[in-house]
Amino acid sequence: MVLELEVRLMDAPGKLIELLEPLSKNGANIQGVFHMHGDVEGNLIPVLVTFLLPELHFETNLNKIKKGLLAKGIEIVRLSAEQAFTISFLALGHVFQTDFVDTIKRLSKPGIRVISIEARFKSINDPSAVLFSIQIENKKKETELVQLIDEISKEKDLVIIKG
Amino acid sequence: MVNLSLIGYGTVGKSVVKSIASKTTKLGEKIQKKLVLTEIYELDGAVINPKGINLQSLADGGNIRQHPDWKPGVKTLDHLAKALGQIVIESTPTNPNTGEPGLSHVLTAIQAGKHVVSSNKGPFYLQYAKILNLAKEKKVKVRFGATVGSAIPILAAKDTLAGCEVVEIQAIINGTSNFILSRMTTENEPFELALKEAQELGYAEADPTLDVGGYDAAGKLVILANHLMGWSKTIKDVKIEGITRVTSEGVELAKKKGLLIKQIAFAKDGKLEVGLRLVPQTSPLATMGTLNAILLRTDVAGDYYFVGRGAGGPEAAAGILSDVIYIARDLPE
Repeated sequence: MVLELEVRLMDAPGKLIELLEPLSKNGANIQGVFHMHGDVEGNLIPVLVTFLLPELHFETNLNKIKKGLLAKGIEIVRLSAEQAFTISFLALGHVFQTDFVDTIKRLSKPGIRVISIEARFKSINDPSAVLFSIQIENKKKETELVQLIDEISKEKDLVIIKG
Repeated sequence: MVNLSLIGYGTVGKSVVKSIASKTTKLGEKIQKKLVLTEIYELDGAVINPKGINLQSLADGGNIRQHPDWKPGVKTLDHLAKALGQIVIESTPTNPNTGEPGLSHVLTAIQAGKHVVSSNKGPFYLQYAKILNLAKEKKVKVRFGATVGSAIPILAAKDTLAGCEVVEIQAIINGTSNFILSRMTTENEPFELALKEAQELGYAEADPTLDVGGYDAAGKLVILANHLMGWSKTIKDVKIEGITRVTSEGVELAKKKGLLIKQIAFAKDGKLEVGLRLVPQTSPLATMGTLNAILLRTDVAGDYYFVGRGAGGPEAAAGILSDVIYIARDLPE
């Protein structure tokens, strides 16, 4: 998951390295650092860090990062996840007879999560209609999801109607 | 006076004749010139009168072959170069694979130095560049507004929105498919029944493949993208999915969520696609019945929507006459 961290740092050499150390030590992949020089308050510069924290041990690593920053006397002004969003699509065809569990599993990847399904069918042997709602953690994951959907629909001969 | 030649006397051609006959004064007032039809070509002959064909009997539903000026055996391609028409109106049916006979009609007319107005889309989604390049070389005008959306002034948007670039197109441009999907939504009909209804009402052909298979929309999309976005694509560049596998269950499930299943034609980032999409019921693209809807997304001026009746003889005739007037305005007396 991509997170945004906002802190205020002393305008002094070495302070940025102090800030980044607890992040990199605990599995964060730094994506960007932004000094907001226009918003300096006294000797403190607001700094915005964007970083990716993998889902594996997410909570543990996040707590370690928070503790590490606190130990260095860095106060967290804001720490928030990038807005996740939901994509819906309708699958038509033999959705259940083509290994439904396999479909769900393949649509569940890091940063991609099936959050609800709703189905309509006459009988289990007839073609069905299934509406999938999938949460993705950021826009970049959308391309990955579209590729997954295309791959599954071709393999299982399903008609996919995207939202 | 501006002389016109009409090729094709089917649904569209008959509507063109009726419109010219009934609106001749009004049309003339718009350009301060009289529009005169001097040739009407059919497969097995032509009505020809250098002084202007008397259109009344035809406008009243008379048989073209019983017109006093009917000349059997006249071949369109042989006669076209010596026709008096300064503007040639091409309204024959589309052959989706070859574009013929319309393509030859259009190229021959241009070669003979005549301006062309067409409602026949085949030549334009197959040989857009060839036609436009020849017209440029021969210094004649070619207008084909009626090929997409009939009288909806969507191709004219190239001029009216010239201050911005079209970066994306989303369009419902096949009235038959939209009618079928609408009936499946509002009446809970299965696809087969909705198709049968469309055929009974004359919205779908006996062989509906071009419409429900997405090919008609794909052809129109090519014309839109080439004309409005400056691309050089043909129908072979379009990824196409029809509506034949849409089920009542799918329509019902979408409806419950406030969504409609629509066949949308897309052009963006150099890619063309005709496919199915879930559209919110509140979207301007959520048109029902045979209505067409086209979204043009521009670089600086945001989104523009064009909605209107995209099929039918009178609608196509209105589109054709708009183009005729556009060209005739600049022609010498």
